[in-house]
Amino acid sequence: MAWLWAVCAGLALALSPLWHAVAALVPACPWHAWTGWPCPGCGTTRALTHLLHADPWGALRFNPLAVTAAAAFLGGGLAAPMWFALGGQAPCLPSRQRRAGAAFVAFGFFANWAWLCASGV
Amino acid sequence: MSEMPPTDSAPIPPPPPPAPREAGLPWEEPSAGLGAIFPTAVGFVTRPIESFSRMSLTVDLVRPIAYFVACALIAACISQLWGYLLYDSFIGVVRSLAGSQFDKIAPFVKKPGLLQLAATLVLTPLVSLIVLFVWSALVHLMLTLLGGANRGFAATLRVMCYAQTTQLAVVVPGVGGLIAVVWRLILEIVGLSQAHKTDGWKALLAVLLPLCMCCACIVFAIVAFGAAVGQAFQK
Repeated sequence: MAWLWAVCAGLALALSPLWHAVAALVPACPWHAWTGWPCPGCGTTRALTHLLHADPWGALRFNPLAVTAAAAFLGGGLAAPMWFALGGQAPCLPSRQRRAGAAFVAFGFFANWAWLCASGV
Repeated sequence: MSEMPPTDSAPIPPPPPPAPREAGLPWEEPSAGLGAIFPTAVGFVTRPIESFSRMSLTVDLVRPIAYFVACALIAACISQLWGYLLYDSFIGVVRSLAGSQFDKIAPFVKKPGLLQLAATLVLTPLVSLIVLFVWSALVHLMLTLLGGANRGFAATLRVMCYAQTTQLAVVVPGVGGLIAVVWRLILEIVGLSQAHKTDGWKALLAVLLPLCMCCACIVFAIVAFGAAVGQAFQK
C-alpha cells in the first residue's frame, strides 16, 4: 500500500503538464455564480496550480485545505515507503479518539470554507 | 499376563470435514486469465451484493487494481468511439453546458483521431490510478471517522476497484457517463457495507460526504448536463 501511495504521488508530480493543461479548461464555479458565495472547493484549481509552480504561500491564499491535503498526499507518498522500511506501523485511529478526529475534520472543513467566503476567493 | 488395552473403547472420531470454501470472484481465481473479467463484471452488474460478499480481502491487490485499469481502458475506448461517431451532437451538448465559456475550450474539443486515442490509452490508466487512490483515501477517512472501517484501507480500495465496473455504462451513448456516475455511487455503498461488514448508512455517508464537501458544483454539473443533453436532442 505504501508503494502504491508512492507511485500515485510520483505520477501526480510527473503529470504536472497535464494538470496545467486541464486547469485551463475547468469552468467557473456554478455554485459561486448562482449564490455569490464560494463552495468548499472554490480556489482548488488555482491553489494546486500555484503549488505545482512551487509557490505554496500563493497556493494557501486560494484554498488552504486543498493545499494541506495535496501536500499530505505528496509528502506522504514520499515518506510512506521509508516509514515502513524502517519498521514503522500503519497509523490507526483508536475508537475513543474517533469523535475528536471527526470534530477536528469538521472544524477544518468549515474553517476553510469560512476563509474562502471571507477572502472572496 | 500383561494388561491388554480395552478393546471396547470408542474409536477416535474422524476430524470434521473442512468447511466448503465459498467460491470467490472469477477474476480472483489463481488461474484466472483476461477472460475472467467478463463473468466478474456480469456478477457485479446482476448480483452486486453477492459479488462483494465473495470478494477476497486477502488476495494480492494487483488483481483488483488490474481489473480497475482494464475497465477504465475499455470505457475510455468506448467513449472515444462514441465521441467520434456522435461528434456533432457532443459539440452541441458541450456548447449548451459551457455557455459563454465555450470559446475557451473550443480549441481543445476536436474530433477524436488516432493520436487522441493513443494519448487516451496511455494517460487513462495513470490518471485513473491517482483518482482511485485519492478517492479511496477520502472515502476511507470518512468511513473511519464514522466508525465503519472494520477491515482496513485495502478493503476500501478493493471495493473502489470493482466499482469501476460501472464505467462500462458508457456503452449507452450520451447519458452513459451520467448513469455510470450514479450507478458507481450505489455500487460503492453496497460494496463498502459488504466488505467492512458495516451499516449501510455509514457507507452511504462515507461516499456522499466527500462529494458534498467538494461540491454543490457536482450537483449543479449533473443537473446542467441533463439539461444540456435534453436541449441537444431537441435541436
